[in-house]
Amino acid sequence: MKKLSEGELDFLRELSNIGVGHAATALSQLIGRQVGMRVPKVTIVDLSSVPELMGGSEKIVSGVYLQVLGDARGGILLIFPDESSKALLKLLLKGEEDPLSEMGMSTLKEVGNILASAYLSVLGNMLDITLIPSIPSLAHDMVGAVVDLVLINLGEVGDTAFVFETEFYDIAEDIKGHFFLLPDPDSIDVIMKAIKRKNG
Amino acid sequence: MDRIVVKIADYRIASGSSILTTYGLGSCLAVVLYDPEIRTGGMGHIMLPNGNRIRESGNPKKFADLCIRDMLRELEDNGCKTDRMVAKIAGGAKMFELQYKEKLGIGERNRDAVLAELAKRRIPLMAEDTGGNYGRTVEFYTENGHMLIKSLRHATKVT
Repeated sequence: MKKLSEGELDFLRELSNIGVGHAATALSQLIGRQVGMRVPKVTIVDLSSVPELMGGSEKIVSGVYLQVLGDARGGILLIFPDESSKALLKLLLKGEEDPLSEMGMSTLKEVGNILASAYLSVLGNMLDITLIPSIPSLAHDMVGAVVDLVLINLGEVGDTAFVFETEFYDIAEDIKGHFFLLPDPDSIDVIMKAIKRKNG
Repeated sequence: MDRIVVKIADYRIASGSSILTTYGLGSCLAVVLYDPEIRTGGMGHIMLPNGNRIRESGNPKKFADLCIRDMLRELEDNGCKTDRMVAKIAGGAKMFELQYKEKLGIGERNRDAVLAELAKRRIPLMAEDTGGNYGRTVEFYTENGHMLIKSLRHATKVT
């Protein structure tokens, strides 16, 4: 994989920004509250500190993981701290807020599915490529254990790998989440070619 | 007692009444090497199976083979003997059930790589708590060679 230029990285960052923007809108409609997001990151150093950012490696979180299939491949990981997944469930399900109940688990997976689908359809439309999310999978565990997958993904290809990470939150800040897009190394080329094709 | 935290893609060695600890292992694997004779040991927190394909790009301690190699060297510098050494491992879970399967999960590949490296160096594996779909926090007591495995939904294990 060749190194991406700063301009190409900026373009990818912007692309991801728009994608997460749509995902945030989908979440906002789902919970009936305004949802904001921070500027996406693509750096590696920041990612290894994600467990600390979220309160330490042993902090309990819900993670929803979806594989990305189609013209480009990879994965999407959404992380909600435990209090956030409870607050989210409280809003969505009346009187039911256990992230480990049958209903709680399938609701969290569905939220992941909606956000990932919103993100991928925007990205696919802008680049004229097909991106399909797989069935979501859920893990409720220590944040270190849930995100080490992201770090492994980065580590496997050395220093040229990158991940898109965005933090989003509702205005009351009851609900916070982290959104990761993890493109397979080969898929970066597919995405860059699609960008060149679109820009003529 | 001295608690020494081992970060991801790193290893630490200790002796006496120390506790080597690593938090929140998912697919990653904790490898403990221990010389009971002089009560000195090391713990590595590895992410990936083998580093030989990637020529020293970045941190070698993230790879099973290179982490064990470097940790062993440092243990020997501190008076340990490889022929007295024993090993314990934990982690290597599969946190997410994937719809479209990969050949082998990364957790399982990490485990296989560590076992191969230990066999190559003739270090016997004394305990193993790997696999499953849950995260683990691991503590190793250099004083008596006990390893504690804590998780969210399972009772604490002692090996």
